[in-house]
Amino acid sequence: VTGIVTVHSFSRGVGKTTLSVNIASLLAAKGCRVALLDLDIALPSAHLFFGLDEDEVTYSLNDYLAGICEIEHAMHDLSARFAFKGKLFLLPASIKLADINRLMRQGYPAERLVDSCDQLVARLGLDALIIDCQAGLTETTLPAIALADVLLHIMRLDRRDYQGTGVSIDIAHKLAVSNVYLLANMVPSGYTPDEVTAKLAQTYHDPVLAALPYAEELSRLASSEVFVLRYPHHALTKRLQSIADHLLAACAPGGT
Amino acid sequence: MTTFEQLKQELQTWANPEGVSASVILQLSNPLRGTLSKIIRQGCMTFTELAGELKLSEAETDEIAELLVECGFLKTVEENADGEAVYMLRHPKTTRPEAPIAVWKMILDDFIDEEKA
Repeated sequence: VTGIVTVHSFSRGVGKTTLSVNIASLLAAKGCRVALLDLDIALPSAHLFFGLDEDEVTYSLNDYLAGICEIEHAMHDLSARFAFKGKLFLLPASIKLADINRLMRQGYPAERLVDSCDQLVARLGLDALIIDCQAGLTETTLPAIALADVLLHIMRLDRRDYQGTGVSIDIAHKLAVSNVYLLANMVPSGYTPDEVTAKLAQTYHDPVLAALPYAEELSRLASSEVFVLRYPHHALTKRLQSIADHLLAACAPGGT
Repeated sequence: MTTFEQLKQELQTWANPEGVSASVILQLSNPLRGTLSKIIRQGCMTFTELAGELKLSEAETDEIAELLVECGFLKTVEENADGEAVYMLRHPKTTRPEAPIAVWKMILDDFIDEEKA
């Protein structure tokens, strides 16, 4: 059974892609078959973490959504590159300005997005499909939320994020997403993780997976590497492993 | 008013010739909203499942399914091995990355509720 995990945030720059990339890598390293779909078509960046150059990407998710190619042409198997025990497939969004503009201006048929998920699941025999979706609440993010078996909503401790987080998780519940989790990221020093977790759970009435501290080492990588692969024994890697395991368990039928 | 009457009344106000977006689904009441969300997630739904989700009799489901197809929410894709209809969501032809009015309405409603409180 494949679970679709949609990673979402209301604001930009909260670490949504960083977390998606690291969770996908941890699951693949553990032996799972995982696909990561970069649906942040306005600001694609998942490929950067894996060192995937522009010239290696002949076809992207944009091409598939525009009906230019088949899903297997846009898919990149990164398993051998990182010696994963399992499999990790990346569907990168295009970084070409013309492709981004075309999709932003003309849009795409929502059926292609749903179809891409169905095809990935069917062809790759996945344990999890992770959708790194665009920040905010738009006509393109809503289907990604609606498709989710598990929604991981990332937020920062920032007033700009509080109301947007409330609306986002309200929408997820209205769309009958059965597993909604919150994660506070880049929590500044001075906050106690347990207190933050308790306060957020009390405010939003949904389980809080973690309150992750700001990590200097992560910041220094500047999106050029996958943190958990570079620092496999770091305390943050252990926290991320526990989050990845929790999400995978939540994908199972009846999982919470 | 029964669920059946409520569904009929609600569906009579909708026409989605271009297909139905998630923001339209957000504006529906339950059990319709939850049922259509479930169809998105599982890809399709049989007539029996639809009846179960909407808690309607066979005859009532027949009428509501017809209305859902007429309004552009669903399309009949095939009949399964048991000869019953299978429905899929009619997705919109084009989805653009713009904020839907339904979302702004929710934000505004939240703000009004907070002000009242």
